[in-house]
Amino acid sequence: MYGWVGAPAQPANTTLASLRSDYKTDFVLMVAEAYPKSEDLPDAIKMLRQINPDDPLKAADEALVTGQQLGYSEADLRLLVNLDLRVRQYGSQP
Amino acid sequence: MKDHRPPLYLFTGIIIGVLVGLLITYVLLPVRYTNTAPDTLSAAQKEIYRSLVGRAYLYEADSGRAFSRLALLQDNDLNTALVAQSQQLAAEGTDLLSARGLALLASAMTQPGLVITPLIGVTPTAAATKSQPATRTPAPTPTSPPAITATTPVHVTRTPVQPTSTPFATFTPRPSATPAPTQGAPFQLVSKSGDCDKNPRGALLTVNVLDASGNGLPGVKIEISLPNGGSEDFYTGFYPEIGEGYADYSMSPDITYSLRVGIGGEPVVGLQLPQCNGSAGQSYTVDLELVFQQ
Repeated sequence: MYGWVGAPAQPANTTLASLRSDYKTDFVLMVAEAYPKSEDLPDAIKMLRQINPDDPLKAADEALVTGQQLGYSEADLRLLVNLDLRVRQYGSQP
Repeated sequence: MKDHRPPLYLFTGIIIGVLVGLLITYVLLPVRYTNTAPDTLSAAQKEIYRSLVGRAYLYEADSGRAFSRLALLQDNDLNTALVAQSQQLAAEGTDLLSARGLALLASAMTQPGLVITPLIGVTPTAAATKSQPATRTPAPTPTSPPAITATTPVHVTRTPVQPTSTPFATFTPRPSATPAPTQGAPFQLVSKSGDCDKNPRGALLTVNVLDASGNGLPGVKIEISLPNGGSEDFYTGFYPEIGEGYADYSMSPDITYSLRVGIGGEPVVGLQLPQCNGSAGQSYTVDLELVFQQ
């Protein structure tokens, strides 16, 4: 009872993958801002793997959906769409 | 006759129970945090987050957004964290853009009016409409999802994500010690000059900070004394087109300054603008050029 109610454990040393969805979305937006060039894409995907180690495209997809739900500005949504498209194209390359 | 020996099977049961409990909590079903905030990230993950903020700042030049993101990390001394990580990245040479971005953010902390020119990114896709003004979305706040600020929503389904206040956790892992960033050897003055043939009536103090290999170091803090007894900080890395380790400061004639480069560097005292004499006998000042190296 004390552990659950009196002094519940606080998270520490967590990972980017455990962030709340709005923080994750902002992180993906940062990736879209920070890696705007095509040649940056491998590094951008490396960053997206911090959010979703198994499926970076899913991280970009989810950020786009959450960004829309949270009412991100059109400029930011454009950045997210751009990143999503580039990751998708990169993933479909042979 | 009655046997008074303790029931050993009870102790055996307790030991087995503890072992099974440890096996379950550490191996089979370890605790997994969800819906956490950036301030709970490990030190290594915070560095990734910070470097991404720095890099995004270089392209977007939006200091308000960058600082609101950095505030989420709740660093005790943000300026020191920025400078230390910038120097570390510059020394490693793996991510110079982030190093520069972090150095500029550290400078922006001491000079709030600082405006930088964003790096040129990529042209948006065909979906972009150039006529619409770009509005910024604020970074999320620690306690609630970002407010809806879209002026022209794109298929917005307004179902805000509900914040989860208390992450589901059963125990707190032991915090691991974070190694302090290596500051490197102190910087020493290797050259002090003023070229009378260059920029007559100049009043700039130019500082070039080099590492041991002679490469410019961005993000190095330079502390200069002020005539009223205070001090002011400025940083290298503002003018990468001149040099990664370049910084300058506007000096006043007839005032003697002292200066310290980096953390723990020896102060250089008695700095004044060099005086030169022209052909007609008139005297003028020129820029004072200093070079420091590790």
